[in-house]
Amino acid sequence: MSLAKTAPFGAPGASFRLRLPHARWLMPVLSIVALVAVWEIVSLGVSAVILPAPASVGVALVTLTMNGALPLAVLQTVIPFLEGLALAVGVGIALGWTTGLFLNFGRFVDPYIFIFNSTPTIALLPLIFVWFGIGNGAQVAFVFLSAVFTMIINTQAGVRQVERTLIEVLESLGANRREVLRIGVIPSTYPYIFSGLRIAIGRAVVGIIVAQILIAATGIGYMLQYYGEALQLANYFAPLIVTAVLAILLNRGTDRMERRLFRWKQAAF
Amino acid sequence: MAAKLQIEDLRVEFALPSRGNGKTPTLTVVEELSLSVQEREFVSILGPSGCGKTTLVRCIAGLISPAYGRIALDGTAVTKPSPKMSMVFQGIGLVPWKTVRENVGLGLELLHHRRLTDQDQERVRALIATVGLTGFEDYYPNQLSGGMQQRVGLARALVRNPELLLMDEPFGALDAQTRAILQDELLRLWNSTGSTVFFITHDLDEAIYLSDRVVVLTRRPSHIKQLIEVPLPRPRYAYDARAEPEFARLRHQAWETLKEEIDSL
Repeated sequence: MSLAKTAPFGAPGASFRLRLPHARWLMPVLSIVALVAVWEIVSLGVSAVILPAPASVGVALVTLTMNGALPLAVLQTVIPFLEGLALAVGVGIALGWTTGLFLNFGRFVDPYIFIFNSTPTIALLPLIFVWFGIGNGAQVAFVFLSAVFTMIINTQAGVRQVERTLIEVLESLGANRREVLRIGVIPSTYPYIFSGLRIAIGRAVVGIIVAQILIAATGIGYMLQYYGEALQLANYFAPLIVTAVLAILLNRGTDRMERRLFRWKQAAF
Repeated sequence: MAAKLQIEDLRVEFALPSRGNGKTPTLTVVEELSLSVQEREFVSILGPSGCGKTTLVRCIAGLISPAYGRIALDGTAVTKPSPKMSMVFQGIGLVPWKTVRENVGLGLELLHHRRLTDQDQERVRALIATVGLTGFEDYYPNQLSGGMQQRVGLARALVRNPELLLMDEPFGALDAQTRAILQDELLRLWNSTGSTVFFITHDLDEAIYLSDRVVVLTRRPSHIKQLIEVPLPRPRYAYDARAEPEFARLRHQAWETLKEEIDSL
């Protein structure tokens, strides 16, 4: 009977699906191929100033890589990005834990976290300009400010939402305050820290590009701006693609790390 | 003979949210409750839901302080969690990021405040075997069924070799079959360990089947309404104790008592 063959609702088999081998990676690849094909067709009909052909973007990618401009730009971008992000993660976790654990310290600091988090980071640009100039420090500061508040708020939420039963169980087993923190509270913030990190990375990527366009005039940000304003769109697309690829790799890396760290979240049945 | 656990004239209050008139209103949950439990005795507390059974057991565990009265274990007042006691919670409260082995090990780690020795590890392994979870040592709680999780909770409590085992509706969230199996295992373990058990439940059959004595509480503020002795022979898992006419009679008696409290809610 046909009913018996039907997969239960909600099961993966319930949706319409062509049974293709290797569909997991084949479909995304096909999607990219299709995009390039459409792009090629459209570019045949319009001026290269408006949309350069995929082939000429490929040539630009190779040329800019070979002459060292693109690798240098990537380096100039990745270094302050990582510095700013690392600083934001470190400070964010430290402040998140302390504001979450010490109620009155939290009450003291919370207004500023709220104010800064509600203020668009870009509005602080003049201040960063005045305080940090236009060098590496300014870029790091901008990335830091873009990412740190998300980290603080998420870490703090992790501390405040620790399960009461768990704490009570540990106390009933004789745990002292340090043990409650080490075994119960701190590990229960890790998933929150990670989802904070995910958002913070996205904001930091925006931060570094904006900082390089508006403050520092180096790296990928400046490259985008330069070729954009010069209307050399083939050269402009090359760093744009590199940025997208870097961002995707970063996301994938975070995913993998998260799956490894939080194996305990996956149910067996 | 001195009682193992002595509760004298206990009153427990909770602070309610302030109404803004400067006074903090309180809710009296337990009032004028006195009870003594003998060494090796299995006592169940039965009461209408919301009557303060959990509050009572948390108070005995030293997790909250009474407003008045005294709780003594072996004659010594209980003011904080004691190494002589272990508690099994309805919510189980396993540490989700620790494996079965680590969770059971916590019972010892937090007792001695040190890393586990080889001897401790051996004891953990033995307890995991006792509750029938050999082979699941490296599983995380999330990968176990509810019944298996509560077995871990039981092993974590028993690994400490407690003199007094407090159990707060430990099988309340389990299905009937799993509950029956775990009840028998609890009786077996109790038989071999010599602990005193203080068992909270709202399940009449469970209370009578397990206990030497069933304490029926009134509704809030709760105190003791009736003490029911259960003279059924032990070990009760060796025959179908629930089929005895005496079981039905006791069940009826307990239900009549309990019903008065539920009806007057």
